[in-house]
Amino acid sequence: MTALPLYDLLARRGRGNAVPTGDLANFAGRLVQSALADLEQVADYERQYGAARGEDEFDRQLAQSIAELYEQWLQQAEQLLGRIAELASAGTPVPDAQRLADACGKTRARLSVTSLQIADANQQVREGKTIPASELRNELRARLRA
Amino acid sequence: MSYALDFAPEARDAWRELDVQLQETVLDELERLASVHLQAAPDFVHDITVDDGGAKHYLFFRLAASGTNLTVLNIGHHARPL
Repeated sequence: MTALPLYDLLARRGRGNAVPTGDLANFAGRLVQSALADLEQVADYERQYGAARGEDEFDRQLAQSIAELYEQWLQQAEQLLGRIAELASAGTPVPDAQRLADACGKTRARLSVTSLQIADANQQVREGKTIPASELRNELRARLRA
Repeated sequence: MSYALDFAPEARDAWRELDVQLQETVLDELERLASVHLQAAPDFVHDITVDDGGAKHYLFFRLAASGTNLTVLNIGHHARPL
């Protein structure tokens, strides 16, 4: 992902020296693979080190730190998606662009949960304040009947 | 092994903010997840993508498996217009 400035430099070259669009698409495709691998790495960090320890302040900082990794990734990935959209509008699609767009959507969904909401949920479960799924199913049925 | 599925109030509140069709999809998916043996760690995340024709919905779940219970801790949602 750190190669995006290089991509931009090549994409900006003037007439006569322009890099062929197909070459740019190949480059963008490599950046897509790199971005997807980076995201998998962040997910691995989370799986290995992200479990709550039952210590409020540490768990809050842990959740925040992991969220920051995802935010940094998302910022760069969406910049790359912008370049890919330019190529696509010029008739040059980039392989796996949809996979990257979906990865960005999933990451946005993940980041819609705040570290405060994570801490609150952990606390609620520790206090045994949980609700059986059947209550939600009944609530949904009532709403569908209304 | 299947699990008894329950929700933290935080997750229930997030579920209530979804439209009805997504609420049903979420319950179906989480009940399916609770009915299978989970290979994941006690705390884990899960996500699904739902295309309703007008938008692509990305749903994210934080879950905790403990004993015979599977608890939904948090639900995240992002929609991208198609």
